[in-house]
Amino acid sequence: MRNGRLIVSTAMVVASSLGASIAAQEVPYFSSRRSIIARSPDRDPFRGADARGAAWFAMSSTSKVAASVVPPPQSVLLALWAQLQSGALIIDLLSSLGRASLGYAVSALIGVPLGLAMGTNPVVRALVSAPSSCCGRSRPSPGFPWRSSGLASGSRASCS
Amino acid sequence: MFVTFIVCIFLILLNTLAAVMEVEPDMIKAARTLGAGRRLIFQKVVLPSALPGILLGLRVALSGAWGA
Repeated sequence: MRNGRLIVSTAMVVASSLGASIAAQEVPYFSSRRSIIARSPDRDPFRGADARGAAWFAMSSTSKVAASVVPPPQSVLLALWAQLQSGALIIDLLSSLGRASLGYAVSALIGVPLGLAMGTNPVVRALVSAPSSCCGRSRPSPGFPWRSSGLASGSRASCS
Repeated sequence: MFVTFIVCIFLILLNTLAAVMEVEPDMIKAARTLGAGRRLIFQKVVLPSALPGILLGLRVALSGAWGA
């Protein structure tokens, strides 16, 4: 079941290193496109992918490391192609997506009405936040990372 | 699915709670001055004002759902 996600993430690494090696040649289309996408070299997502791909290939081609620990890139690509052809990758990916979206939907259906009820009704808020000692105060702590991700300034700017 | 639920529920719940509690109290008082009831205040003041925060929580939880 987790096979699909592993293969997909490995294939993304392979694709990024392949894309970097293609784009490194001075093809006009790729160079102009890279200049549009990556405005500064710090934000280039393919930066260092060449070195990483080369290090992967060198590490797996030497016999020091077992192939079961670090498989070479070509066998990863072959496994990706075999799983795509047999349809197992699609099935595993769909089941993973289904489970993730089911959990997300359930938590959204519970979390949003419960949060609205907690915000508007002090009785509900006291009932829900009583078991936890950290949220026993009337406000959630402002130092938590979900408040630092732009919520406080955004809502205040839209209110005033 | 359960792990995804555990990851998502706190992000969504606490972001919604923080968004509702960040609603400007003066706007609620103004709506009450204009004669709005609790239901109307919730529909016309609290919900539109808290919607960006709620959607932010849903967005953050969406990225956490696949990474969990």
